[in-house]
Amino acid sequence: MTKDYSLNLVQIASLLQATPQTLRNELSVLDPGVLHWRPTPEEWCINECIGHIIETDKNGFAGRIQTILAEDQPQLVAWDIGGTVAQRRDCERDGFELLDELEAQRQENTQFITQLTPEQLVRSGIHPNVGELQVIDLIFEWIHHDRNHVKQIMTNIQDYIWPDLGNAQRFFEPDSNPYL
Amino acid sequence: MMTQPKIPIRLSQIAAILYATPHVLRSMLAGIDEEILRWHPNQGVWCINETIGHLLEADEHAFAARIALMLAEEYPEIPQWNADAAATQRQDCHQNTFELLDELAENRQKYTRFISQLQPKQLARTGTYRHYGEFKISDFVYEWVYHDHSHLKQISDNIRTYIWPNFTRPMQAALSE
Repeated sequence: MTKDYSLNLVQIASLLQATPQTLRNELSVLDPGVLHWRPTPEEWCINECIGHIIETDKNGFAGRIQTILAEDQPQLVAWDIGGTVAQRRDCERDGFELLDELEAQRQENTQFITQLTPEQLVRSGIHPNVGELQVIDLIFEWIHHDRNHVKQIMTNIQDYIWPDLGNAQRFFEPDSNPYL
Repeated sequence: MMTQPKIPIRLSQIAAILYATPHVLRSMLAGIDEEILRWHPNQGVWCINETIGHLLEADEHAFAARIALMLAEEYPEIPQWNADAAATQRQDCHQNTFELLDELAENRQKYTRFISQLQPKQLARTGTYRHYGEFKISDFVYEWVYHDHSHLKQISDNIRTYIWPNFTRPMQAALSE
């Protein structure tokens, strides 16, 4: 890489490869009902979050990187995230089949990432909202995006058990510090 | 979109979720550079190693000991515990992360066996804690899972914050929206 980045491509690939296994370890102990449950009618269930990660790998990251490598400063197209999630109907699916799909896709994508050259990493395209985006920007965003949705999944689990916390809910009120 | 009806989480499942945490962390942190594990997003904010150390301490002082006290005594006053002081004393930043996770996994084996054997009458036993009032044992059991997930999210955030300076200004602006 030409600029000084805090991670090299092998480290980036490790972080991206870790996501499906992290989710498998977390979700394998949950009742399938938790995976299909939406905190509110507008929010995604855990399966939909996994489906979104799968779609973003294709449309938001790997796909865009391929476009930037194939064309000179291409216009990157926005994609309909909400529409794609609705179309997939992942809440009704088996969460572990989705994780299998994500895992296989990640293996392919991380192999692809580690083979990128410094010249390829600084190639760019134009994003409709953000402006110029280099390949390396998309790669770091990939890690960031994964962690956002891992957090969202953890929050769904917290929301699911929240009513059972009883009086311990008070520990999580603003300005509460039960540990002092 | 409709929400699915909720199925209550059984005690055996609570135990399984708590048992899984060290394994979730092990996969989340696999291949991560030591620098990230010891890195503080801000002064006074725990590094990843300290967060794991906090889970170890909380298991003992915020959960298992409190539950054991409520089982042993009638309506006890639950003693306070200072998590920040415990973290400072442990000095986990320079510990080996995977040794900390081994310790967490070993403790969780013991604690989850203990939890899964609790009877409904025991879960309903109570005690008081500071100005927060009355707690049932079940409150602490479910809080244990909630607490784990708060710190799993914190660890995810540490990684996100570590990579943040790599983004260009427009990218940071877009991600902050």
